[in-house]
Amino acid sequence: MTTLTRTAKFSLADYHRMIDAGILDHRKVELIEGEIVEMSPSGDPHYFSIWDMLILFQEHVPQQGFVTVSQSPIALPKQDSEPEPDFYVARKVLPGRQTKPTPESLVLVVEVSESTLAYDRRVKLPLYARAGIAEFWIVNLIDDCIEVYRSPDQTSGTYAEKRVVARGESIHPLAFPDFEVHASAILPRKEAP
Amino acid sequence: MTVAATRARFGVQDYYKMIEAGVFEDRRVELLDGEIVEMSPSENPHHFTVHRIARLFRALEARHGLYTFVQSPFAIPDQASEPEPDLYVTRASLLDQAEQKAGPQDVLLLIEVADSSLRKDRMDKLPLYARAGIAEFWIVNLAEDCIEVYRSPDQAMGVYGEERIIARGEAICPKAFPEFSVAANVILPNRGDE
Repeated sequence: MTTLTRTAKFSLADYHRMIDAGILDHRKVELIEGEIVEMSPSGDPHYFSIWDMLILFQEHVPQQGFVTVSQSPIALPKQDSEPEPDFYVARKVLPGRQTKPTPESLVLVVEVSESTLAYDRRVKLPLYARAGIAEFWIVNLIDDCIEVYRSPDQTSGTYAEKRVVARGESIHPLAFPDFEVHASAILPRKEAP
Repeated sequence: MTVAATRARFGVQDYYKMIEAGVFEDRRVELLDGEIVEMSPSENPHHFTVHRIARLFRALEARHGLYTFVQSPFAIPDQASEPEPDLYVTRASLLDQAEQKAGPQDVLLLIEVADSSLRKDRMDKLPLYARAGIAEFWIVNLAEDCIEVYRSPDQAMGVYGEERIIARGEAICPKAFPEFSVAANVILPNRGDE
């Protein structure tokens, strides 16, 4: 017997019906674990980190096989979720296939976190791990570093491997071992002393 | 720092669009303060009590020009809500009006039968109904075997100015039709020793 109000949860199909019916027009929302939640607006440093990543990856990621996308939804049907990560790299799918990227096609998902850091670690990370997203980065603007998560455990919703890449260090994405990403290229520019 | 995201809220019009789009097919939900919440399934004592009250009020309908809605929604657009109370009583003439859902101004008396939902009814529904200006609200409290009667809503504060507990053995006359006296014993479940 429950004594508290239980918010109704929605499946991805429910969510898409709402979108098609125009109910979510002009609203910044995403579907997280069956709940429709408001997305926080991004501040300047957040925005520029995404911008820098886009330019960097577009130059280095092979043009044929992959796409780099920012602030667009990805579909995680088994998790009743359709989050909108700040940035992701996906394998190009067959032309004419009308579906948002699913975990199998995503090689890297990135969230740029400032005010949302705790939320990204406690809610987004387990979500991406359960969905089997192979590599997840948190560009941590508070501690000025990149948190790199690999080897998702879909059952426990955790990543077995965690690395912190500080300013001055670099990282090679799993999917692109020849591509060296310097943390300083993504983290906000430091003012000259 | 935010740990929880803000749940998106919806208005009554959004809610109707969702219903039309078939989002809630085979689901029992209501809209409370902009949030879509699951309704608890009705268990036996609860269910029978609702129908006992319905029978009682139905017997009066013709004489007093009333109509009793059982587990039907009504709209409170200003509160982004469309609750589905266990019962509410309106003027019978409402049925002949255009096909619109009842609004708070149409409700003479609203009743929730509470067992597992007691907290929800007191914490969520009571302020909602008071803000909407529902003139009289009863909680048939199965756990404590009494009827809680709330009157004189303060719409700004979301509280009722007047609260009375009607115990078994006592009776209450609804404000809107005072010539009708309701005995608590008739509404509360039989205890088997009566």
